[in-house]
Amino acid sequence: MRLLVHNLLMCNKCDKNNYPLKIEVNKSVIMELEFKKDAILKLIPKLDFEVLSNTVRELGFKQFPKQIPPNVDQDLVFLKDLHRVLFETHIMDGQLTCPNPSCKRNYPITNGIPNMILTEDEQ
Amino acid sequence: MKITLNKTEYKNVYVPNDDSYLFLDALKEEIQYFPQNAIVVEMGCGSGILIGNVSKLLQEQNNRALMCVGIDINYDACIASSRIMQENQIYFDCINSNGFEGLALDKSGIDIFIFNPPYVPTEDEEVERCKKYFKEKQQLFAQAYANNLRGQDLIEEVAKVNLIDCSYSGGKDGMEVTWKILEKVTKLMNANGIIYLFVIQDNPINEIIAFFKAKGFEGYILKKQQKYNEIQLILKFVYNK
Repeated sequence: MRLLVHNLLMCNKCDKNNYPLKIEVNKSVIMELEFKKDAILKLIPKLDFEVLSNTVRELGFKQFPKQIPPNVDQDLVFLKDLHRVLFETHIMDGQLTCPNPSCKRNYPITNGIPNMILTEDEQ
Repeated sequence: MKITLNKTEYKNVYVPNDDSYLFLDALKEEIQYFPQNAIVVEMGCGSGILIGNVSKLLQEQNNRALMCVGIDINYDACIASSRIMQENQIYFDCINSNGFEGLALDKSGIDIFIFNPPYVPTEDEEVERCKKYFKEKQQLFAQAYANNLRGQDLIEEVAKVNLIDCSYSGGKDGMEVTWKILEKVTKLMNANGIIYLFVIQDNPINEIIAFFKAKGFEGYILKKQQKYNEIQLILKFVYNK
């Protein structure tokens, strides 16, 4: 699972304060992928950037900007960081947790797969 | 793209069949119409034969999908498809979920949606049996996870419950799962987004087309073939938002 996907996941058990899921990483790997500037620029408006930025900084990449930098299309350093974070970093083992204090449901990530399935009594 | 399923996966994951190959042929012809940098989602990706090939063909045309996300209710399928994609160096993410449960796709929307549903009309008892196995598998997963099984050990333990029946058992009209998914996905499509759907003649095709029309989609029949006593079709719906 990549952080790109984390940006798309929420807790389905509750209907408010259920996004973004907190993320804990036990194991991650980098798999390289060709950098394409146009693709990443096109992706930015589709992201919840604040969520991504908070997540990335919580995971220890403190210099990652809180906001999309001005002149982003010329900021190659930022775009390459974003590429690494979104496309090349695979979380193989860890867990996702609902941010709602009254829920805190855990969703395991095992063998790179997040398991979002609720049990019958949770639905 | 080479699909390599091991012995357990061969039993537990839908092995590409006539329906998959018809669908793949249709997608190969359609890929030229895909937008640049599309968000591609497949529901029930199984071995990954469809979305994997789409991703690969897009890459070859220098039109990389922004995201290729496969969703499958069957953990064994998620494991198999992820591994196959890695072996083929294909760009892909797989999520183990029940339909769109846990997915916040509202912001990004979907550009291309691929769906080869459990389309075979089946009796209620069979649907109930699938639900029972699904529940058992989820319990097995939770238990194994709580017992700190990880990696291959977890994969082998979870594979003890086989969800293969869920890959074809469609309940009433073969539409039980399909209607639920279509109801949801039509709300997530981006302007000019395309839905590709596999159906058989025994599914209520006219009702499906009317459903899409009412939601603002234009429908086409892309492919039709007869295999034994089954007439198989690939339908295309384009969202005129």
